[in-house]
Amino acid sequence: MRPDALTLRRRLIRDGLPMLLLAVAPLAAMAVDAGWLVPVFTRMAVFALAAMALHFILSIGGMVSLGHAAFFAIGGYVVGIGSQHAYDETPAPLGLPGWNDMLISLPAAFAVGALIAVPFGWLSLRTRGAYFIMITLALAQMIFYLLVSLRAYGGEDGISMWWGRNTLAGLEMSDRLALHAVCLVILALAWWVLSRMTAAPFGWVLDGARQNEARMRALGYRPLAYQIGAFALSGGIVAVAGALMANVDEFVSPGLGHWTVSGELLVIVILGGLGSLSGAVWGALVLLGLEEVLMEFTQHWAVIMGPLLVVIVLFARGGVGGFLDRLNMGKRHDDA
Amino acid sequence: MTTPDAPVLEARDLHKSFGALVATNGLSLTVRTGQIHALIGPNGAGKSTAIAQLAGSLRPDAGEVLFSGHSVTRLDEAGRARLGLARSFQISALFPEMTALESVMLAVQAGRRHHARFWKPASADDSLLEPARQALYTLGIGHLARTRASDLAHGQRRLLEMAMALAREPRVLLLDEPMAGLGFVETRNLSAVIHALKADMGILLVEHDMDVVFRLADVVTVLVDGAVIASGPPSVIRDDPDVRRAYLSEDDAC
Amino acid sequence: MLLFLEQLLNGVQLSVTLLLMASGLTLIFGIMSLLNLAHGSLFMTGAFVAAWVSGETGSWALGLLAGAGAAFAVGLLIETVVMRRLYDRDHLDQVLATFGLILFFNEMVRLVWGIRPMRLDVPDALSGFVEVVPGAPYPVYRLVVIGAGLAVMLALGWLVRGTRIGMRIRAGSVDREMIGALGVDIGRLYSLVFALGALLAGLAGVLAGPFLAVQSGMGEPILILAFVVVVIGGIGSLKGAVVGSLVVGLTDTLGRVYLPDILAFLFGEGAAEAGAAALSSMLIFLVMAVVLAVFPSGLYGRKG
Repeated sequence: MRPDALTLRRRLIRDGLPMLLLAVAPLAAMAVDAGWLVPVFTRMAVFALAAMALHFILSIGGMVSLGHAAFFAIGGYVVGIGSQHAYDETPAPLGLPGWNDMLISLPAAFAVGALIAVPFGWLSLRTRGAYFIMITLALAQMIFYLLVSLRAYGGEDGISMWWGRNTLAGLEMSDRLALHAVCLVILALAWWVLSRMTAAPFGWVLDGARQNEARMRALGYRPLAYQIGAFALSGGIVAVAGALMANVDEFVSPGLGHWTVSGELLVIVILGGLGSLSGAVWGALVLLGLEEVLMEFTQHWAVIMGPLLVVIVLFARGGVGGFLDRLNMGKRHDDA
Repeated sequence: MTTPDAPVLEARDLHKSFGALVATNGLSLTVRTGQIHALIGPNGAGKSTAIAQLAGSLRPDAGEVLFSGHSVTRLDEAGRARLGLARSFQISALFPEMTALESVMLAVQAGRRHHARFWKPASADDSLLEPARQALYTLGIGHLARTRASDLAHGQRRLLEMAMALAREPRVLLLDEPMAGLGFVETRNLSAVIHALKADMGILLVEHDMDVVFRLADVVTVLVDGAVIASGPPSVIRDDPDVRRAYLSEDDAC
Repeated sequence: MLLFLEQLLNGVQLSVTLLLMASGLTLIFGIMSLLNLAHGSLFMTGAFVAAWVSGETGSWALGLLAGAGAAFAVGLLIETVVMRRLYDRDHLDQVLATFGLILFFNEMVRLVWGIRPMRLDVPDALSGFVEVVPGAPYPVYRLVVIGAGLAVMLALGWLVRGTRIGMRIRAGSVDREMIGALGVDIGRLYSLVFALGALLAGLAGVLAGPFLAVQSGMGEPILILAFVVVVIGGIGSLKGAVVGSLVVGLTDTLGRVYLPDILAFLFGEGAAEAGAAALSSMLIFLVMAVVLAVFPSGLYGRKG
């Protein structure tokens, strides 16, 4: 949003490098006969997508949502439910026929996620600060319990899509690389859209309202509509990420909406740094990468991860983005 | 089009209480185009509460606010701003992370209906850029366009505040202590700016500096305990015995 | 009618558990403006240590002492190591750091006690039933929980309102710098408040242990319910915490029991069965939504 003094080279490293890594890593894994690693990278791309949507409302809108797992799960269930009915050939809710193609399930996930995000956003935006955090967390927990209570869709156990993934325009997506490519393309697309919107008047209004809401009203803006709109857009994108996750795992369960997922998304955003949207990609690479590595050493990796997080928060604010900026500028960058 | 002397903003018998505290008690005043209307009174007289009700950030318990003869009592602050009411804040309420230019562009944009609200980068929009630059130059801070608001000196923030209010070409300007914290030279400069503005708009000025008030104002209204005790031209107000007793003497004391 | 009385008491008992959690949360937020997600970990600590000690020694009373004491000690420890560095940070930092603590504690109990849930039994002396009204036997232990919780809350109310230390605590929430200038060691005061909140959370964990599976992650569902309590009651207000706990505890308990009947009456059996399970698990959140829509800062919250 600031008039950017970044050089092209720096921007390439900050924004291009993590995308390049996500694009090349699976190919490299295939080349060295480690194809089982591909889903790990796809997971990173999916979490990067969800975290980027959270980054958007957090960095320019100032909305610290600890409830985005709800939308993640909702997107997953749009895939799971449609797929189950398509396989059973039973009518889905509202009497619709089941769906099993990404051209339907992904837009549907976006629509349902965004639609539910509107009342959630409105309620949460009645307040600010700590209240906002607690309310988003509580509303997400409500969705979690709702999903647990859906006995027709497996209750706590969820839906195992043992019949396979969604197709894409009729094409089978059983190839892991193909699915990875789809996720990557959608991530890039979301990045492009969100960057445009950040720089557009829409983003300016959000940014202004974050910095001084009373001033915005005095200028003649009604920020609430913009904020709810941004929250809904964010919820919709996270739902698309959830829909992709369902396809990666071929499985959905209320666990997608567990509150720790909301926490992880926040961690990814902060790990990557708030300076640019690409921080979400960095954050996903670092967090999920770290998890994978720690898991190699111990199943109790969280015993290390937890304190590490505390240390990062206490002593290394600014994340990867801040770190890169500091490297490049040769002096401490002011993130305030 | 502005007609000199036409009433542009009116308060009619406004009342506002917070619990037992009566903050506004039957306030009526008229701001006319081409006039600077000063609202003065001792601390706690209810000036800020009055501004808030005129601006629309606070709803009166009773009474009416009229803009160009139409009631806007039920209109929110943003709605009044869109009609052409601008205000400055007592504490310089800026966007700390934005540059001066961006801040004013945001103010200009507020008055627009944009076709590409979601897509076109705002920073490249000449129709925002030009008026914003103009406003900064008018107030003599054109050279600070690329400076972040949080890095501006106090006096410069006051001027930026004014630039943001003016950028939207308002018809009424509510100024809540614009001179607070300014030095002698800055006060004189800002006074000149305000004086030059009144040709195109009505101005309501809340100000503690009595020299400024009596030099600039065409009409002075004196508020004590939420009620108007006197209203008229500065020469009359200056000699009003009630005013001297209730206010001016106290002011000397502090 | 007897069923209703029984459920009412069950609801009050849940309310007491929530109140012990929420009062600590709200005190800590009100005074240090700290949003502590790891409050659930202290609840879990209380339950685990009590289950372990009472299992090893056979004494429930020892378990109670050990559980509450452990929560207090862990509270003091994390306040010293982590929390005091967070008081001046924004809520986002607080959320992330305390999220890290949750990851640590949830994994730590798996490491120490394994993944199998532990049992915390009702003590023999309190395992009987008593007739609250003739013909309505009710577990003694649940009555004791209600009584103990109320006693603790009365003591807390007295501590905050009637004692010198309480005055300092309240003054600290009003004006940090002033109280610092008066020569009170604000750092020690904060440690004390935090550890007190931890003690209450641990106590809640011990008392509620017999009704729950004592396992990793057990603290967070309770924590989120306590957040709902705080949102409804108004952050920083003890009175709000009391009212909010009653609203949440009673709504949840009575909703689960009576909602199926109400829905069946309104919409017929078939629709009710599918909807009741979903709706009763969402009920308190919907109540929270309604309260928010009308009172954005909670029933007893200060505006802004």
